[in-house]
Amino acid sequence: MGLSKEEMTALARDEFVADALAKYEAPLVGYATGIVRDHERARDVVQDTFIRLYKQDIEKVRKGLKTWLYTVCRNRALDVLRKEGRAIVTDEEGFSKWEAEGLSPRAMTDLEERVRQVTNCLDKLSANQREVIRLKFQQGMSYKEISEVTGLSSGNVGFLIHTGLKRMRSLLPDDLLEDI
Amino acid sequence: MKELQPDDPRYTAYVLDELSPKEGKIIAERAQADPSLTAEMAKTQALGRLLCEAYEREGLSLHPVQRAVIKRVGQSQEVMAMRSARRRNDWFRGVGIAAAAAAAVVAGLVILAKTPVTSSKALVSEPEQLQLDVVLSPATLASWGEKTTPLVAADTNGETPVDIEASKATRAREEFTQRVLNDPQRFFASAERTARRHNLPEAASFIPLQENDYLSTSDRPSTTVPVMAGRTSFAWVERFLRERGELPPRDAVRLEELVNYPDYRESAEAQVGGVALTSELVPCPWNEDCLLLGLLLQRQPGSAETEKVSVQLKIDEKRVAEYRLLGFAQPDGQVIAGADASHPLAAGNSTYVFYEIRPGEVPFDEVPLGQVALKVTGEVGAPVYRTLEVPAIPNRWLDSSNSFRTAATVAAYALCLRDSPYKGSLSFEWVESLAKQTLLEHPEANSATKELLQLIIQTRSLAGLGPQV
Repeated sequence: MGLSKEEMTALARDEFVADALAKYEAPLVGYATGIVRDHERARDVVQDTFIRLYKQDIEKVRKGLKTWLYTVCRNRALDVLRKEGRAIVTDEEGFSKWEAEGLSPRAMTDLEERVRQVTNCLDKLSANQREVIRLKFQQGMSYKEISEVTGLSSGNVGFLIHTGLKRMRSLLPDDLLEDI
Repeated sequence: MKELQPDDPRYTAYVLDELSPKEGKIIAERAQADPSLTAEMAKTQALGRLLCEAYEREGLSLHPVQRAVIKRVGQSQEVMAMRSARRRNDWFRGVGIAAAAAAAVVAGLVILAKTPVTSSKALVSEPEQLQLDVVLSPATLASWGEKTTPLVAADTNGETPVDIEASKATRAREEFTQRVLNDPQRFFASAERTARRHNLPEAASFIPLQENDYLSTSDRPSTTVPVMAGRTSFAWVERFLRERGELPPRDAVRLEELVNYPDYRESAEAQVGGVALTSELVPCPWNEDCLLLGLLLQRQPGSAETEKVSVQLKIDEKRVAEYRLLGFAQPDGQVIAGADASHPLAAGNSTYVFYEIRPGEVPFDEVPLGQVALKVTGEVGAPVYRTLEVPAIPNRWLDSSNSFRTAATVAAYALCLRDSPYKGSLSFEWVESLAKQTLLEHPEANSATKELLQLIIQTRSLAGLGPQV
C-alpha cells in the first residue's frame, strides 16, 4: 500500500527536521547559552525552536533555514529572560576587573591555550558584541543574515563586530595572534 | 566610497569578505602600500580563525530525551494536521479522537492551569510565544459546532460564514497545538487516558483489596520494601469523579498507584550508580500514635536500565513495636512484604513507599529506629550496598520536603477514598486543606503533581459532598 501525500510530507518533514538538528543543534545551544547564560535553559530554548520547526511549511523555511532557526531561537531565549525578569546586561564590571589584572604576554605556541584565552576573552565583550561575533564566526553568517536575525542594521552589525574584535585584540597578548 | 578613517569598520569588513568588489579593491590597494595595515588585518584574520576554533570546541548538544520530545511532539502535530486536512469539512461535527483528546487536555488545563480565559489576540500578537496564553473552555469547544455563533466577534467583519468557519478551525488547531507544546508530557498522558476510554465499570467488578495490617517488629524485624508501583489508579479515581460526579469504588483506589502518579525528585541520601534513596520520618498526620516513614527511590534520568534494585528495611525491635506498609493491598489480604522485590527500574521513574511506625516501650533517643539497605545488582560484578539510618527524631511536617508532603497528602487522600480502617482522624475536608497548603508551598510542582493535588482539592465539590465527610 502506497503512502498518501500527507504521509509523504510527514516523512519528508521528519527527515528535514532531523537534518536540521544534526547541523544546527550544537551551534544553537551555544548561541542560546550566550543569551540565557545557562546550558539547561539554552537546551530548553533549542528544543522549543525545533518543535516550532515541525509546524512550518518546510518548503517555505528550507531556503532561509539558518536565519529562521536563529531568529526563533533568539526570540525564545529573550522571552525566557523576560519571563524570569533577568535584565539583559553587559558584563562591564567583569571586564574592568579582568583588564586590570592583565595577561602575561608570553609566547603562545599551544593552540589549545590560545583558544582558551580567546574563549575567556569573549566573556568580556558586551552581550550584543558577543552575539554578532558568534553568528559571524560560528555560523559564517553574512552581515545581512545577522541583521535579519538580530534586527540590527547591517552597518550596526559591522560596527559591533569591528569594535568587538578590536576590543578582544586589545585584551589578548600580542603574540597570541601570531603564527596561526 | 566615503573616506577611510584610521579605525574604519570597513577594514574588518574587508577581512570578513563583506565589502563590495569596488570597496574591496580600494582597501586592497591601501594595504599593498601600507605593510602595517596588512599586519593589522592579518591579526584580525587570525583572531577570526581562533574564534571559529573556540566555537567548534564547545561541543554542546541537546539531551537525547529532548531530541525524542521534538520528534514526538512534532509528529503529533503532523498527525493532527493530516487529520484536519482529511476532515476539513466536518471538523466541527462529531466527536473525533482529536476533539476528544483536545477536550481531555483542555478540560484538565482549564481547571489545572488557572490560566485566564481570554481572547486569542495575545497569541496572535506574539506568534513567537510558546507560553499558554489562551485556554479554550469546554463550553467554547462545544460552540465550535454552532455555525451561528462567532468565536471572536471582532474577527467577523467582512468575512463570510465560510471564512469564519475556516479561521475558527485554523485558530482552534493553533490553540490546541499551542497547548500541546506547552506541556507535551501532560498531553501524552491525557491522550493515553482518552485512548483507553470506555464505559466505567461497576464497583463490583473491582477485586476487593485488603490493606496490609500492622506487623509486629519482634515477628518481622526486617521487610523487603516494594520498589515498583503502577500508576493507573489515578485514571479510575479521576474518571469516577469527573465523568460520573461520584467517589470511586473503594477497590478502584490503590494507594501506591495514586501516590506514585507524579514523579518525585529529591536530592539523594544514598546512591548507587543511577539509583538514589531518600528517607524522611515525620509524625503521622492522621494518627498521633504513629510516625510516618517515607522512602523515596529514584532512578536518575538518563541512567542505564540494567541494574536490579532491592531495598530492605530493618527495624529496631526495642524502639518500634509495630509497623505497617501503606498501599500495595492484595486481594487475599496477604502482606506483600515485597516478595521478590528485586527489579530493574525505568529511568527517570521514582517510587514513594510509606510505612506507619508505632513506637515501642523504649523512649526515643539518639539511637536510629532502623536501617534501610539499598542493594543494586548490575549486569556484571558483585551487588553494591548502601545503607541509610532511619533517624530517631522525626522531622517537622513543615520542614519535610515538598515531595514528602505531596506524597503523604496523596496517601491520606487514598486512605479517605478507601474509607480505610487505618484512616484515623482523616476527613475529605481535612485532606483538601492539606492539599491546598501543600500546593501553595510547592510552587515548582510538576504538572502531574499539580493535577493530582487539584483533583484532591476538587473532590468534595465534584462528588457533591458536604463538609465533615
